[in-house]
Amino acid sequence: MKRPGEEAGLAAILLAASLVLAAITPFQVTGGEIWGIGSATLPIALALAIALLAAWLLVDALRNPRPAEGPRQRAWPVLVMTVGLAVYIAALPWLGFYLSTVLLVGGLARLFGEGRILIILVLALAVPAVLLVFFERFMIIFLPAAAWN
Amino acid sequence: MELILPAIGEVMQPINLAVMTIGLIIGMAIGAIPGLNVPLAVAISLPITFHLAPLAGIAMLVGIYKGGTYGGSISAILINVPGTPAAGATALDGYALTQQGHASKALRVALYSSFTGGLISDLSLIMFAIPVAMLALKIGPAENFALGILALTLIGVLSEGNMVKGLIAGAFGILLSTVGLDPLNGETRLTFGLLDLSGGFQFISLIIGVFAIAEAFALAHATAGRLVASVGQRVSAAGKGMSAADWRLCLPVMLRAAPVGVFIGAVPGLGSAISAFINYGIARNFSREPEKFGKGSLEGVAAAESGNNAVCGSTFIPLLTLGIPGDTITAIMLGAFMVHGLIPGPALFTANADFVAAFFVAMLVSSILMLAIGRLGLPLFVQAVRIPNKVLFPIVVALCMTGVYASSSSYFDLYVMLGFGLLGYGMKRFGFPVAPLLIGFILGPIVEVGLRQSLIISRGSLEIFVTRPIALICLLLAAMVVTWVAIRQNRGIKS
Repeated sequence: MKRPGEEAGLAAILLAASLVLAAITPFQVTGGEIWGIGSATLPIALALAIALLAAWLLVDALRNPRPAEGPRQRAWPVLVMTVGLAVYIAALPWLGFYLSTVLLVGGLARLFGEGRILIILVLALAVPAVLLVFFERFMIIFLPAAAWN
Repeated sequence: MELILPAIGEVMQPINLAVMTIGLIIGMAIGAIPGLNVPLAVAISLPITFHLAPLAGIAMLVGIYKGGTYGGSISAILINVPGTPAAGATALDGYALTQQGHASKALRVALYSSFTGGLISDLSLIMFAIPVAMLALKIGPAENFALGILALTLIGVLSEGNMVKGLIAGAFGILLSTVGLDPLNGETRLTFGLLDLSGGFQFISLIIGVFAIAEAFALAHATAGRLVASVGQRVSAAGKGMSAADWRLCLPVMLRAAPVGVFIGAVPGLGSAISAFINYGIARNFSREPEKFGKGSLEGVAAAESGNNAVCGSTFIPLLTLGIPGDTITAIMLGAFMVHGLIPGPALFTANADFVAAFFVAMLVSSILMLAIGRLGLPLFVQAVRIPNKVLFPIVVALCMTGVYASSSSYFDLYVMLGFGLLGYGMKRFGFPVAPLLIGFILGPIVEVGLRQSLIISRGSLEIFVTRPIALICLLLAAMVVTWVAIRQNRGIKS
């Protein structure tokens, strides 16, 4: 659902980011060159190629602005989900796999539109339990334990 | 022939059929779960095989390998979660078919293509093991570079109609593959001081992110706009089975993808993911309906699945003929052979000819069993699409998080997956194709290492790429593909 100017804005960001990357890559790479090619050669070449293509995209977007393809949608669910998943990952070493995943599954079910509390509860309690048993008992892969264990 | 008949009798013993069946079921289950890869399943099962007879033990591991390679496609098609890296190519069209109500048809195409690719690979192992191994041995750094360049031209093929965005995605994929330790001198690059980045980005984090997590973001977005159906996908009556027209469309694709997969499998260090994506690109190039690719093409599913399963048999070619394991799975299998007193290499064919014959038969029988088990399981697998999205996706996200954590025990990889999820969501929103990103990520290291090693060997001379016949042929083919794509693109713009 692109808006007029969104594509040009994206192209401008891509152009700037790739030029910055090309400029800082020599400082991010250690080691010298052998026969004219070193560790930095490919990343710099690729960053410059992306910059060139982004410039092309920018010119095209400015010359031929495209109309919006649909009504503007709210971005908050994506933001909520991103923050929720980041918090989940951060909570794993503290709350442990089971408790964190109970909260994750319950929260996601609600976010995706499930309104029945019983369904949310069953999902939130059963899914992490099944995953825990499968991975730890059958695959012998240990999942994060709570900090108090 | 005097060895084959007793071998058939040996393989058809109930215990051997039973362990192969168990291996296939375990493999399919593991293959369908993201993060749990086939090498892990083979490694975990290895101690069990110590208590079995050599043929039964090896047959069980072969079952896990084949089942796992096929199993990745089930979750890729049904819930957009590629269980294995190779299934990423299957998800490109498989999930779109599911969204159109054709899940059952997509699963059938995946199963029959996997069987066809696997069977052709097994027959190649049996009939052409020695010549294929000799050809594979001729593949050095220069040939790897040229093959990589030829494969990278597929980015252009997959970007037709959206060339600039496709090329950006492809270049970005290669750029992502350069993060971490330099493969030649071991120096760090683009890690920004983060120790966690020294190992580079894991492919499993990338594919789960750009497919499953991106899909969850799209679902969350659609839910807010009330655009999402309150119930799960329906399986349309027309989408249940493969029609004669579907077979006419897919069979040539399966048969064309299998030899490419056989060759890729025989070359040490390449593998099924590369085969799947290369065959996907080739299929699009030869298709009469290239515009359908990425939007629900049966040919796309057939090419990816036939291609990745065609690797299974041929990976054993360098192992059995030369004693060289070409990938992680065959390295573990080498251990299994040795535990049972079998030393892979030329001597195996004379000292243990009866075992080699039985192994060949077991490979063929396991392909047939995979077809039977997959076909019996189809009605069960397809039920997953009836689960409403609001119930299914919390499970999918939890499974992805758990699977990626299990694959590396790293919290950092979970953040990486989340980042790739946002990247995939953004790419979808702004019309960037995902396939070039994945192809670039897979092929980047092959091209870079091939180029730099070649220049070291030739002391900086580019002549190495024209004096070696295979490299020269690949580079000429690459030039032809680029010219072909440019002409097609030009025609498309004019029309």
